[in-house]
Amino acid sequence: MSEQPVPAFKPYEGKAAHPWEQLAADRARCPIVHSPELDSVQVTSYEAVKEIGRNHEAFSCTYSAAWPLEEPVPEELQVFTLADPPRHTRQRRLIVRALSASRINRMRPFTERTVNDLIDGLAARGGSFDLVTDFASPVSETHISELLGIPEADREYVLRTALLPESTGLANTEGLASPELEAWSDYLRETVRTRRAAGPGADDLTTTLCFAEENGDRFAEREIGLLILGLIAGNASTGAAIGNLVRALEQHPDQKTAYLGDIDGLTETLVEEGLRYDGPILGLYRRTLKEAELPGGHVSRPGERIYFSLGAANHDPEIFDRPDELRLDRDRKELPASMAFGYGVHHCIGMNLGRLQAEVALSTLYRRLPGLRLRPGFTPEQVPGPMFRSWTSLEMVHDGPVLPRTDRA
Amino acid sequence: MSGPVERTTATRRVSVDHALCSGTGHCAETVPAVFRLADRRAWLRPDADLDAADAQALVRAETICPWMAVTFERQEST
Ligand code: HEM
Ligand code: SF4
Repeated sequence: MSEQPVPAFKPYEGKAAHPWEQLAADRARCPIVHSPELDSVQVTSYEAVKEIGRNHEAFSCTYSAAWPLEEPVPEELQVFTLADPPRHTRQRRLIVRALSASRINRMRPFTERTVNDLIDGLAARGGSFDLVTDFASPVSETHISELLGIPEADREYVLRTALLPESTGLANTEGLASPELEAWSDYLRETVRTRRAAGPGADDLTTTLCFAEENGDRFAEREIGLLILGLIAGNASTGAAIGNLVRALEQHPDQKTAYLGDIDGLTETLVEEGLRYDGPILGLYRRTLKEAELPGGHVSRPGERIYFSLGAANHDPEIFDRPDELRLDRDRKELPASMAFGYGVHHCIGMNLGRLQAEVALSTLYRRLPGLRLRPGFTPEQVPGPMFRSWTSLEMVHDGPVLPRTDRA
Repeated sequence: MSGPVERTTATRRVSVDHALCSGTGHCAETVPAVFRLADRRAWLRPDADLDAADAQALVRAETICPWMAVTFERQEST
């Protein structure tokens, strides 16, 4: 085997505000290369990233898409991106209808009310706020609570506990749970029992999961609990996405001017292009189960751990002209879809809900807050690591007065 | 309307369920001769020759659709 270059992408060593340059250097030299830093094969071209998503038979999630372990996770813990077909197919079939584009569109009035309420709250804080903690996170938390029908009194507990790394059970597969984890399993089990006792009438997704049947069998309490956790964890990407979109727009003053001139006409475009430019998922992992060839000639061998960067794919100059610029005038009809929501059977099941939140959040913010901008002199920071793109804080300022709500005629 | 969402021939049936389809375009990439994307939904090409289309590719489109909106059935002909 020939001497391979060491990749420039080093996401653990103080993550670059814009890793595109490192990733572009790696792609230009060798789009599929072993990375000692990631202890994985690193994939940065659009075509190869797409092929990994397409070929789910060769590239498995069961070792975890967040950091492939040495062994598959125990089968009863396999949900969503810890699962492969057919187990994954059966889970997904339960949920696609509730999260389809046509169904989620009906949530728009709820989204408009939620976002306007939050902006009313910002107005009361005077001329500055933190976009991440005061706006983006509450938008996404309110939506997942509504979708799953989490009772108001339980929300804080559920959302906080669900995002603890141990909550999936992965860190604790022996079942030697800490008291907090035990309480959490009890809570989930109790939720399933209560919903089942209440009957199938309610239209929240938790109830749907509780009454779904496959060949006459209902789903196990544990599996339902893990699916709920997966939805909460996945939804958290939306908060990051809203932050990334605002930051991207603020970094491109000419594009911001264009946007402010036609918010109605350009919001959908801004969200698509902004998620291409800086989506919340920078990269993911798979483990190779059987030999498979990737575009570019690399033959992946069984056992290989693969890190594939959605962010790098979305900045591949073979696909997107001048990829490192946010441009609202791209001809989207002529371009392939971005990889921001992934590709293949694991394609983000919350895409429609994520888009709806982002569209209403961005358009309403810029419509109602005159002179909205990043606080001059403020330098935002990224969360560390290779998986996420997310600003920890975005300090914003605006000029009063706040304009009227957009959800009442 | 941007085309049909269901077609049946003597030996085959292909459909896209718009209550599920969320417009990812995977089907159109997999079998461009049969599916096309418009207004964020997949449609069947009115001029598609279903009987001549690559059956394996149609199975792949059905498998990969992330919203489980594509159905491909082969009728064992009479
Ligand atoms: C703009 C917002 C969002 C972005 C950019 C995003 C991105 C992604 C990506 C890239 C994947 C693929 C993971 C993989 O292939 O390993 C994914 C999967 C997933 N997302 Fe999202 N997501 C967003 C919002 C949401 C929301 C709102 C929800 C919850 C309703 C959600 C729930 C999920 C779930 C459950 C999966 C796993 C799907 C599966 O394995 O079949 N996401 N997301
Ligand atoms: S692959 Fe499925 S969801 Fe995507 S466009 Fe085709 S039918 Fe619609």
